[in-house]
Amino acid sequence: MLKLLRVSVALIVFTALSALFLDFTGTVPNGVHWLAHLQFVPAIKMLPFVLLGWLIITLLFGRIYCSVMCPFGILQDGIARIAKLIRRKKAKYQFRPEMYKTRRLLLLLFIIGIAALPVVVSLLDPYSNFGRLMEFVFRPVYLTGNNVLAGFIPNSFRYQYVRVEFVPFAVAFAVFLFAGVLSFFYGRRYCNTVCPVGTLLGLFAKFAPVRIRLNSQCVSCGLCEKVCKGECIGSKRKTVDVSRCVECFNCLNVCKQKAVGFTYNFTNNEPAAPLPVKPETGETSSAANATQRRNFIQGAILALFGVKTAETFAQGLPTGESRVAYKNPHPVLPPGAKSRGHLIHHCTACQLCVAKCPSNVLTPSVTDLGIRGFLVPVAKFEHGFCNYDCTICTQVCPTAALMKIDTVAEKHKLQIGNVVFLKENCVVHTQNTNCGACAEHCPTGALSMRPYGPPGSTLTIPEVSPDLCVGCGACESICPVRPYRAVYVAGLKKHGEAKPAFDPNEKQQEVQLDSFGF
Amino acid sequence: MSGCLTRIPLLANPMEMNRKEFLQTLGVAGTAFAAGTFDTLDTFAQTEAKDGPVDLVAVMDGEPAPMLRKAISELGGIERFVKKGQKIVVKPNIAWDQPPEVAANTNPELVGELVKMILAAGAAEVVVYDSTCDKADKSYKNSGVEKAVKDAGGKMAPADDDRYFTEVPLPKGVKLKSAMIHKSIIDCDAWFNVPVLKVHGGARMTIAMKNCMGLVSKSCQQSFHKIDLQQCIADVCTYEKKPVLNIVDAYRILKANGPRGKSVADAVLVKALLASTDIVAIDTASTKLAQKFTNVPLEDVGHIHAGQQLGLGTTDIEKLNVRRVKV
Repeated sequence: MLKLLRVSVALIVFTALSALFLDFTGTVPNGVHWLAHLQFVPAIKMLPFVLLGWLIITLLFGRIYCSVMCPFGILQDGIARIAKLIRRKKAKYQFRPEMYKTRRLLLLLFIIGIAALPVVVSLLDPYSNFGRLMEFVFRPVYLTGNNVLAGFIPNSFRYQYVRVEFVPFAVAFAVFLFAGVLSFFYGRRYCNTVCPVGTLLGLFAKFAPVRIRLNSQCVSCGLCEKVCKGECIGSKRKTVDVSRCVECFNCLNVCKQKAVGFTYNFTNNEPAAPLPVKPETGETSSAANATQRRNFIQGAILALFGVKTAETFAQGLPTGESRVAYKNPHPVLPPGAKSRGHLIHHCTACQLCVAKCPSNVLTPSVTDLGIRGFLVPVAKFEHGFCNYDCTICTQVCPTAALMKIDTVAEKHKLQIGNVVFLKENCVVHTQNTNCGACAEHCPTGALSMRPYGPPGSTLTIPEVSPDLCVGCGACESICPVRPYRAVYVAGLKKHGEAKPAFDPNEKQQEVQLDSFGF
Repeated sequence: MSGCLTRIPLLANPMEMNRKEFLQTLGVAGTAFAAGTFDTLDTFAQTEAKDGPVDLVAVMDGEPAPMLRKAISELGGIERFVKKGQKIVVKPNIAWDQPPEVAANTNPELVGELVKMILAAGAAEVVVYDSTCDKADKSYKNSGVEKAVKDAGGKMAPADDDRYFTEVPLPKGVKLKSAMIHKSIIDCDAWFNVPVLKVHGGARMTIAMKNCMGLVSKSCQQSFHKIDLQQCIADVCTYEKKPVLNIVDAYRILKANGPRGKSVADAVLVKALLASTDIVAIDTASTKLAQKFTNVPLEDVGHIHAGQQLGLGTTDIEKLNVRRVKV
C-alpha cells in the first residue's frame, strides 16, 4: 500500500516535471513550475519555508523527499526498474557500508558552495542535474523526433528548432551516465554517496521516529536486503541504516515474516554500527572516467544528428560582409537577473528558463560568466530575440535568480542591455542600399531610421537612442551583416531602467476621409 | 447572378477579354447598380466608368468586412478570382506580435471575411500563413488572425522553419535570382495578397509588394536586406505565380514607427480599403492615401519603381479603370 502510494506520487511528479521541461507546445500548464519551487536546493535559494518543511518531514519520516519529489532520484528508480526487467542475472542488492568520508566531504563541499561557490551547488544539486539532462540531452532527441514526425504528418506536427551545445550536453550526459550506470547495478548508490541532499537529509533521517524497522520476528532470510535500493538493510545483523533509506518501501512487501514495518517507536534502540566490509575499491571513479570518455563520442554523434540551422540560405552570399570586429564587453543577463552577482549567486543552472524561453534566446554560459557562472543562462541573440511582452523565464525560475516580473509594463521598463550601432558595418553605409531591418524589429524606437546620404538620396540609416533600449536583441538577431553585425546589444553588469517607449494613455486618432488622395 | 459570373474567366489582363465577356461584366455591373449598391458613386468626380473591367477599387467609410464585400462586388464578384474546388492561399501581413489596434498586422475581420467568401465560392480549402518577424505562434494569435481564419473555416499553416519552403528560380529577378517560397503558395491554385498599409523604416512603405517578402523564409528575407532590399522586393514579385488579387487593409493605417508600431497612437483609424489586380498600382495608390498622414514621397519607395521597371504594373493610376466608392 505504501509502496503503491510512493510509486504513484513519484510517477506524477516525474511525469509533470519532465513534461514541463520538454513541452514546447504550451500544453503543460505553467502552474507545474511549482513542482520546481518545491525542490530542495532551489528552496535553499528562494523559499526557506519549503526547506523547513522538508527538514521537518525528514526529521519525522525520513527521506520522503528522495523517494517522491526528487526527479533525479525517481529517474534512477526507473533505471533500476528497467535493470530488473532486462538484466540476465536478476538484480539483487546487498547491504554495503556507507562511504562515510566521500559523503561527508561532498556535503562539506556543497555547504562551502552555498556560501561561496555556486557552481559546486549547481553541479551537485540533483534537481538541476535532472533539468540539464532534460534540456541538453532529452530535449534535442524529443524535438528531433517531433521533426521527423513533422515530415510525415505535417498537419499534426510542426518543425522545431533543435539546438545541441557540446559542453553543456557533455556535462549533463556524463552525470547521467554516471548516475545511470550506478543505478542500473546498485540502485540508489549515487543518491547515497554523491548527492549532498541525500547526505544532508540522511543526517536528519537518523532522528526520524517513523522509519523502516525490523522486529524480533526477523529470521535474517535476506529477502528485504535483496530488494533494498538503498543498500542499507543488513539482514544478518537486522540493521537498517536510515541515513541511506530512501523510503522505497520495497522491503515491506517481500517479508514473509511480517518482520519489516514502516513504524513509529519512541525509543531508538537499533544498533547503529554497520558491519565491517572490505574497503572500497575505487571502482566508481574509474567508471566515471570511462563514462566521460564515452560521452564525448556520444555527444559528437548527437551533434551530427538532425540539427539544421536556419541560416543556411543566407550564408554564402557575397555581399553584406562586415568590416569592423567587436567584442561584447559583457554577456547579456536574462530578464530579472538584476546583476551578474545576483544571477551567479542564486542560479543552480537547472535550465528551466532555457527550456521555457519561447524564442531560444536563453543559452547556458560556458565561458561567458566565468567558472563561477558555468551553465548559468545568458541571453544570446543569434537565433531569436527576447519577446517584448514575455516574462516566462522570471515566472518559472525556482531559485529567484531571475526575480519575478509581474507585469508587462514592468518588463517594458527593464533594460537588460544596450544597443551599439557600428555604421562601418551597416549595408546602408557599405552598399548604399536600403535595409532598416533593425529599426523594423525594434519595439521601442531605440533604433529609428533617419535620412542618409547626399541631398536627394532616398536612403535611411539607423539612429540610436540608447535610453529607450531594453536590450531585447531584436536588432542584433535580424541584422544581415556577417560575421560581425552592424548592431548588437552590449550586456550590462547590472540591469538598468529604460525610458518609456510610448505614452500608454495616448489615444488613436480617427479621421473622416473626404478623398483617397489619388 | 453568380451563375453568370462563374463563366467569366480570370481577368488579369483586360486585353484577353472578348466582346461577350465584356458585355457580361457590364451587365453584372448594371444589375448591381440598378439594385442600388452603388448609391454613393456620385460623391466622387473621378468615378465615371472607363471601358473594361475594374482595375482598382477604393472603398471608404465602412467596417473591414462590408468594405471587402463592396470591393469584391465592384471587381466582379469573388467568382472572378476563385473557381470551385481550388486550393487558395490568403497571405496577410501578420508578422508582428501586436494586437489589431496597432495596425502592424492585417485586420483579422478582413482576413476572416475573405476566407469566408472564398469558401462560399466553392474553394476546396483556404490556407493562411505568414513568414513572421516576431515569434510565429504569438504573432498568429495576438494579431487575431488565427482565430478569425479558424472561425471562418480556413487553415493556418506554419512558416517558421526553412523546411516549409522550397527554393525556386526567379529568372526575371535583377539581383535576386532565386527565393525560398512557401510550399502552400507553390501548391495552391491561386493566392490573395492581403497586406496592411504601413510606413516602413527601411523600405519606406510596406504594402502589397513588400507583403510578398512574406512569401519567403526568414533566412531568405535576411538575404534581401543583405543584397538590396528595394530591388529584392520587386524581384520576388516577379515570381511566376502572381496574386489573383491584392487587397490593402487601410482600416487603420500605421503612420509612424512602422512596420511594427509601438502603440495604438502610431496608427490612425481611416476606414478604407483598396483592391486591385495590379500590384504596382495599388502600392502607388496606397502610398498616396498614406501621404494624408505621413510624409513619405512616392519617389522614395524604391521597390514600387523597381516593380514598374520590371513590368509588374503601372504607377500611372490615371490610365486605369478606378472605382472610388463608399460602403
